[in-house]
Amino acid sequence: MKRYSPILCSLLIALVAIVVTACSAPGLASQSPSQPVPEERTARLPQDVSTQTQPATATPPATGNPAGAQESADAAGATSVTILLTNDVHGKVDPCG
Amino acid sequence: MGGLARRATLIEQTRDSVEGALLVVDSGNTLMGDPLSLRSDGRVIVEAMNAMGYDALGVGTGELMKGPEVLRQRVSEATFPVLSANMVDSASGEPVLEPYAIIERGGVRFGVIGITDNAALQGLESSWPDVTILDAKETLSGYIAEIDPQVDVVVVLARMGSPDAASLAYGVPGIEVIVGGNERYVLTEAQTTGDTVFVQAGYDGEWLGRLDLARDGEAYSLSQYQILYMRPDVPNNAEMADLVQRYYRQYPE
Repeated sequence: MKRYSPILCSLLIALVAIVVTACSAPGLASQSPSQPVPEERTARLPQDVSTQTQPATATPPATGNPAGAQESADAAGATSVTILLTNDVHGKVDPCG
Repeated sequence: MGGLARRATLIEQTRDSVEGALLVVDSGNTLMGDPLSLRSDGRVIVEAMNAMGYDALGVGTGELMKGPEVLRQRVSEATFPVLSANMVDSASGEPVLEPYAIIERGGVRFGVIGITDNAALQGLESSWPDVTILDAKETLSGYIAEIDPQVDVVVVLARMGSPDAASLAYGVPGIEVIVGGNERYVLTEAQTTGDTVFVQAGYDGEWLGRLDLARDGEAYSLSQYQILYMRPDVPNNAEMADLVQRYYRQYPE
């Protein structure tokens, strides 16, 4: 069985390690959290926000199943939801006058 | 000028600041009660809610006290749906109003269902002789099975006392949010039962509840809840103040 010298083995291992490190470095860097958000994501934000100020859409019939509802429910919505609520206003316009 | 004009300011500020989907609702007993609202048959409140961009209104005594014809008129003027799933025609069993609405905001689909308490019709039976209030849990179960697959968040406007409204969370799966009513106290913290959040925002329009949910996978769960008071340092919305003054002139005492 042919034997290799320890020095040659060490050099070979070091060479393999350098090659592996060089190949993997760009991939890791691309996943760094310090990287800026891709342009396409930031560009969508103003449009998303503007849709919140639109008036209520038409409501479905009492037992209706609006077309396309399932497709939209499957789509990714906002990551946060805010609900503003009141109740029992009793027709008051100026309770804190 | 306080309530409506300050509330309009807070809602407008919230619209300008939130990054996610925004829904604005009232669980009911809201259109009438105060003298100006009674003199105008609830018109002042409907026009104000239109201006503030409300998305839905539930039904309680305040919506019913002037009878079916007045309510029909106000519903036709509202830019938001007025919802009650369990208030039905006694003969046909069909809902008198729209039972639910599916409303999309910011890419999120809300299924909003109205539930009316039996007590809402007490003393008003002669004005609503052909109407029956059905059991809330049975009614909700049927509608939620219908709309849950179509929406991301199910919101129930349950204008009923908090023990009864909160108990819906035990008996009816699939509800993310219950907005209660019918009691004169301020619930400062959201109550959670399983995956359901129960909230209620005081009375008389002196408070505005703000419930924030965060998406966790495909579900939305409680992030935080705040009660906002119409403090004197909240500036009046000028257009809303003008609207109220116009109604005072149009419907004098």
